[in-house]
Amino acid sequence: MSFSYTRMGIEGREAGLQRFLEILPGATSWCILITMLVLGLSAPQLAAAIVIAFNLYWLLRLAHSTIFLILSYSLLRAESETDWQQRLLNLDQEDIPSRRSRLLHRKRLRALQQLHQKPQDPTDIHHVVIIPIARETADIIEPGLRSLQAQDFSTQRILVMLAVEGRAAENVRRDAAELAARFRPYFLDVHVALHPDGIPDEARVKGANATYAAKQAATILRAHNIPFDRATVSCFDADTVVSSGYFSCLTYHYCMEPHRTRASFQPIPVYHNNIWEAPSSARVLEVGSSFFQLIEATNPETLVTFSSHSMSFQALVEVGYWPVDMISDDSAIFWKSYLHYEGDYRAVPMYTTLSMDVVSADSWLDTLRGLYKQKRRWAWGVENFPLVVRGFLHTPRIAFREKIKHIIKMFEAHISWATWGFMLSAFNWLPALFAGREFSSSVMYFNAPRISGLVFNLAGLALLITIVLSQLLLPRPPSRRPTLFRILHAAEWLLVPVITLFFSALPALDAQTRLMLGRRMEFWVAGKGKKAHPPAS
Amino acid sequence: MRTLRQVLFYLFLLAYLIATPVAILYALGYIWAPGAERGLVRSGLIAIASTPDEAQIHLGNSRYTRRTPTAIRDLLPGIYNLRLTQRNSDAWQGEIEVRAERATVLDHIILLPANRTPQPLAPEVWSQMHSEPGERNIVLESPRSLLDWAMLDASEGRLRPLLPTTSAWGDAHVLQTWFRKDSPHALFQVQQHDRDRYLWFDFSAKEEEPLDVTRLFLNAPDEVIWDPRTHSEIYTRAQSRIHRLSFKDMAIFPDCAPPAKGFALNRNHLYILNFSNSLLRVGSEGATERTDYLLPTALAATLTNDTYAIHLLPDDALLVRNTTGALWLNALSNELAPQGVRQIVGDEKEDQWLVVADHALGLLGLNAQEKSEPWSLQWIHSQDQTIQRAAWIHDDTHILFSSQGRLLLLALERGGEGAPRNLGPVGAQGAFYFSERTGYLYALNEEGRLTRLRLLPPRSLIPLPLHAETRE
Repeated sequence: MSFSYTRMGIEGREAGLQRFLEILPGATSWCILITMLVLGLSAPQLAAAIVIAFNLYWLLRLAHSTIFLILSYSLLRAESETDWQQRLLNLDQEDIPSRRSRLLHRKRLRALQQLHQKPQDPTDIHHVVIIPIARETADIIEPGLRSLQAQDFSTQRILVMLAVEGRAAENVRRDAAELAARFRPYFLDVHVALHPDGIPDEARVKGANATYAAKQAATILRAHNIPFDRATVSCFDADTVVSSGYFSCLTYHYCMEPHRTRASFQPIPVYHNNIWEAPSSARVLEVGSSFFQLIEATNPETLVTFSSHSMSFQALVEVGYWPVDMISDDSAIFWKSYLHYEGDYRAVPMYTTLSMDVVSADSWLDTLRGLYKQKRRWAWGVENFPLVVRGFLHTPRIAFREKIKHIIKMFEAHISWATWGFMLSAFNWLPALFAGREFSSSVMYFNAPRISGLVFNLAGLALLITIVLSQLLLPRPPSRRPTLFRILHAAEWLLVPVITLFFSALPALDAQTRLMLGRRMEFWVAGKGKKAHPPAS
Repeated sequence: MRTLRQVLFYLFLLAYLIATPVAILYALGYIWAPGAERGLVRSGLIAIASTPDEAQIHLGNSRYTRRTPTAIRDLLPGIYNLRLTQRNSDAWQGEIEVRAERATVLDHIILLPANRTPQPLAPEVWSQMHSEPGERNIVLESPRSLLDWAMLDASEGRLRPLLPTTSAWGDAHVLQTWFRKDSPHALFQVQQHDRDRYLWFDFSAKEEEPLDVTRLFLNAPDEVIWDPRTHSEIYTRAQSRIHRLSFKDMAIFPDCAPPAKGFALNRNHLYILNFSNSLLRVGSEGATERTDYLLPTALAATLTNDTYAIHLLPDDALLVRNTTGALWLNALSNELAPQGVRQIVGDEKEDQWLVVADHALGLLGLNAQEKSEPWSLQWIHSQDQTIQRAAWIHDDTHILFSSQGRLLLLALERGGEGAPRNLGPVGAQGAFYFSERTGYLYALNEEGRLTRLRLLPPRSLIPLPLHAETRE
């Protein structure tokens, strides 16, 4: 496959197509918003009818998502009780106490049997963990390393790469070196890879740093005679803390996956490290992000990697590592692999969590600012859209239906991300707010808000379920009055309309507009950590 | 999971394809009618809000369990008899037309209190009340000396003397007064010890002596105007001469504008109708420019040497009224009224004006959609008896007016009773004042005593939403 997953170095029609596809999402979002605004002012009756149609669509999508959220959460609960280390001892064993977990295991075994395969022997599986570091000091990185040290999986089969940016401050580099020295005895190795600044064709992005470290990891694996197809690589944010069974769970999934070298493994990201220290808006938003991933996990056919995840090391090397000029490296590596293997690549959901920090700064305003920038960076994942569409034009072996499915899902996801918040808030009331005499004396003027009210009341049920699940998912509050804390958290969900607009729709529209106008984003490292510490990544 | 996803997808798609057209058709007013009308028919609704609210609704033969404010939906087009009842209030009844896909909005129905006996507020007898000063003050005029004049704070219902008891002006007798809408000031011409005096009152300052500005008056003025936002500057027209008087500097600026037979003030500009029937605009620094475009030649030709009141409206519109009450609008070729117009009262939004004539009430409105003739005057009520005073009330949806010893209420809303409703007797002067905030109607009765009647409930700060309706 000749397609290169980058926007750099393209010319002529290809460059034109790339630019057109960069403009398309932002232009579509703006078209929708402006059309609704114009219709709201000039043809309010039509606008109100569109709003009704949209509200019903949104309600059904919400109901659909809620059903799969409940299912996914129940699977997470079922798998959370699994002793993965014990499971690894006999992968053929079907006698598993948990009924749901047993069903999932049998399904995986059956998939292997259909291909006349057996589970991979887990005893020679190794794991590479890459932790990109730009501004993060020891207090941010150390909890993650401790969680790696506490694995029930043999840590001597884990290679930790501290991928430090060459431009990082002296104290950051010193911290990395000290941590490497301190934790080295517990792992196969803890290696500091100092990524030089200014390598040609590289942007100042996390993917470039991780790629540099991965290349060094490849050398180390070769030196230890570890075949790449017997190794996974996990690129974790510096604040990522994994549960003690994470690598056993990953090993299990890797061994049970028939096409293990053509797969990424996606856990459920949660933001529990400092969840009770963060402002309510950040807390609600991050729990929402976790729920979104839970819903996505139920649909492996269209699942795309997000945030901290793992994949086959062999695949990483074969596809040429992470893109070194893109911010959204987490999803970009999936699409790069998908295109490289011409559709023969998938993301495997893992019903286990890994925890990261909620964006948190010293002041409330700085936290909100940080939160906005983080969401904008996530929404910048739209930069994959033109590359994926172009890639599909160069990959005849991928079925047309699959291409259309992925393009529609990706496009719709970004457009809805940028527009739904506005549709549900401003445009629901716009026709009534600016109603002229003609519209305000129509039946529609009185009936449309009534239908919207009914839709929102029904949506309240979904919100109620979300609140209950968030209470179940969140860790125990560090308070002498945990019940009060939980009640207050439940009340925080009332902020959802505001949060959806200002910290979801607006940053997404911002990102799409920047891409549309060619104002590409510099990499911005989210200020994470506990409030007591200075701002760091 | 995949199968479940597919099943749910098709189920939800089906639900959407069915629910969306149904919801949109319902929102447009389409309903499924049983009986003879069986089938999909277009319906209308009536939105009702009353003051006071919680009124029982009777529509045709149906009585509704929900009370006002509410919307009654799914009504087939036709004429309906709507009746609102409430304990302690007179019933309200109207023939309401319901049209397909349209909402008949009656959101300002006033249910008059059943007991409309006004309560006397004080034993004193007054000869007139002036309700212009500020937004909530009423000046009560006494036939005796200025010491007996009083001020009523209509929001709080407090009565106080206009002057301190020790005032040097206590024995003065009032000859003439000038008030200005929304201004807390008034100019009084009084007589004391056989000498004419001019006093400038500030009603926002409590119980303070008025400012003696007599020395600034060269002649008795025919007309006095000032900007309600200013506190110390007025313009007078005396024997056609226009003077500016500054109370701050105690200075007079004589002949600050050319001689006029009518003038008006708007945004620091004087508009002067001179004796050549030209309309001039005079800036605060004396710069004069012709604004003939405001006064078409045809209109200018009809004006005589009479004096004229000028009323400035938006969009370069201008009303001119002579001493007999003939009224012209510069935007229209014909005169609006041949005679008898005594008062022009703008509503709160300044988009329609009440024209009060001797025997009729008219509404002058601007319809920007109508390009060729945007202004129109519609006479909404006429009667044989003389109309004395009129005022907008209840968010400019009703007109309260006095006529021949009666106070009357006219609803402007569609479907309201055509004839005005009688609120009760009022003194010969027809003096009244309605406070929107408290809902009290103040009036001078036949004996000249100040009375108060709770016409509407006090204003709530947050408007309540419409209830859903159910039929009994």
